[in-house]
Amino acid sequence: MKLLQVKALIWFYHLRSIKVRKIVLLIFLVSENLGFSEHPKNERQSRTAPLIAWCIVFLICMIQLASAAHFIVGNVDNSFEGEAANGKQVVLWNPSNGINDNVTDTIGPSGNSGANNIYMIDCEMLSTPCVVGEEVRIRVMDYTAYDVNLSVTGAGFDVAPNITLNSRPNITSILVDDDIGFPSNQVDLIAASTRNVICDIVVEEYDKDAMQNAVAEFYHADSYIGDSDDNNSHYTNASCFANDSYGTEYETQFLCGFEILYYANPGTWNCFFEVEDNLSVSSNSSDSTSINTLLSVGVQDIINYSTVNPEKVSDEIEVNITNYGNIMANLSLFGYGETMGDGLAMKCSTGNISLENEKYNLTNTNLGSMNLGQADLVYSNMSGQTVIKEFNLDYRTKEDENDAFNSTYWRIYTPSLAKARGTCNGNIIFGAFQGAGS
Amino acid sequence: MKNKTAFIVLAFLFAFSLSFIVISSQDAFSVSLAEGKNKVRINLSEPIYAETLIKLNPDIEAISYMEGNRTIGYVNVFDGVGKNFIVADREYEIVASKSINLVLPS
Repeated sequence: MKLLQVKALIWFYHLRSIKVRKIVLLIFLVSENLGFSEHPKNERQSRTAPLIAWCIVFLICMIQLASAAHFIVGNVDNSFEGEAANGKQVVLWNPSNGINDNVTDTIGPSGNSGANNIYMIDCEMLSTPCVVGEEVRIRVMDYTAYDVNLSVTGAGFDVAPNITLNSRPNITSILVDDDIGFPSNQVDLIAASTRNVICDIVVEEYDKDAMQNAVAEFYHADSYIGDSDDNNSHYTNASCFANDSYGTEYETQFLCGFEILYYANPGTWNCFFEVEDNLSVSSNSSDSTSINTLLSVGVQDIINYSTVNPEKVSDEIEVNITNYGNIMANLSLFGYGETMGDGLAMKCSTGNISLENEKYNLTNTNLGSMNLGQADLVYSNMSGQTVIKEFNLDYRTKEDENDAFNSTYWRIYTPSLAKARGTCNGNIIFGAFQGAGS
Repeated sequence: MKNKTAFIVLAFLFAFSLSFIVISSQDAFSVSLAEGKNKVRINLSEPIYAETLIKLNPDIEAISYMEGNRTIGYVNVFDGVGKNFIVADREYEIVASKSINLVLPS
């Protein structure tokens, strides 16, 4: 039996066809499983001899198979934006064994395939060669694309699924403006309120990947992308509306709105938009607009001097003037009793109070009772003409409290009963002024 | 026991005849390829390119050989990809999609 086995092994080794080898192996198997032995008495020998023979057969088989090749061939398409696949590297590995055991090839004519956009890898060259039924994975190196998986078959080669180099999202248009059509490319803020500014972006995604992490930042020229939000200079919208029904099948419209407060810095503002495809490849673009200056002040509705005795100066009334714009403001003042230019501070039930009897101090308080002479020293008289006063009322900069107000101080002198009595009403027009004041 | 001995003898006779058939088919101009992988030494007086060999034998899926620690191959896909090497006097691995007799240039 031993001699026969050795002879068989020699024949086996010379066999060129795996199929024939399989037949021979089968014969061996059958014969051994039947327990054939020429020396049944020597039980130990009868058991070990076939085992040794089989080991040799197995080794021979393995030697032969180890030198076999199994090619994985695949096509890598250029990206839609024109990035060429030729020259890029692909790596093949068996996920079960880890990526460290890998084989690489260059796509295109300079690689194993010698053909444009094709790679060709012998997966038997892995340290742990591929076997039929196992799954291997292929990835383009140093460029983004989906990995592809492939199950190794018993054929002469396997064709891997196509790979397409990823195209980054292509921002074809970006426009930022407020929600009023005219004037275009200018943002007009609303005093003491907000203006809706919209960044309108169209993105083409040729791979038809879902897009993610769409973020728009609207920021003043003195601010930067990535700065924290600040009502004066930086706004962020990370929940832009995506309109997938817009345009072609490749296009998505993003609408990113910002509620811009009245005290946003005037000047050039940018809308910076960034979006990723689902391979985390991002694109960005920006558009600029300008926020116009907004000159606005607010003041309480009524200045109530209460009851003032005849020929007396009222107590001092504090009146806060608030900047509801986005630039520093000086103050214009103009008073009248009943009709503009009447030269009165107040029109009373009987008689009136002339304009110069109403007095103001725009900077300092002067508490306590005082007579007309004392008041005239520290207060200015109202005028029938518009006067512009240096007030330097800066605009709001704090997020959580309004710091953009100045106090002004007012008194009124009532003449004798003969001149005015009863209930008196008058008007003061407060105005914001950008020019220099006196 | 007789039956067992007879079985072994018959089995080896069968194996021997099969291997004999294969070995005897190694004539340079008459090589049989079994379906699947075949180790073949081709000795031609006029060398031919791998592409030509595959065009003459469309049932060949791939032909390759080892050069150092890398495999050089030509695969019958996408109109033929791989290195179009000259088939010289060496051992090649040829994968055939079915059993064929290798057609060589006359």
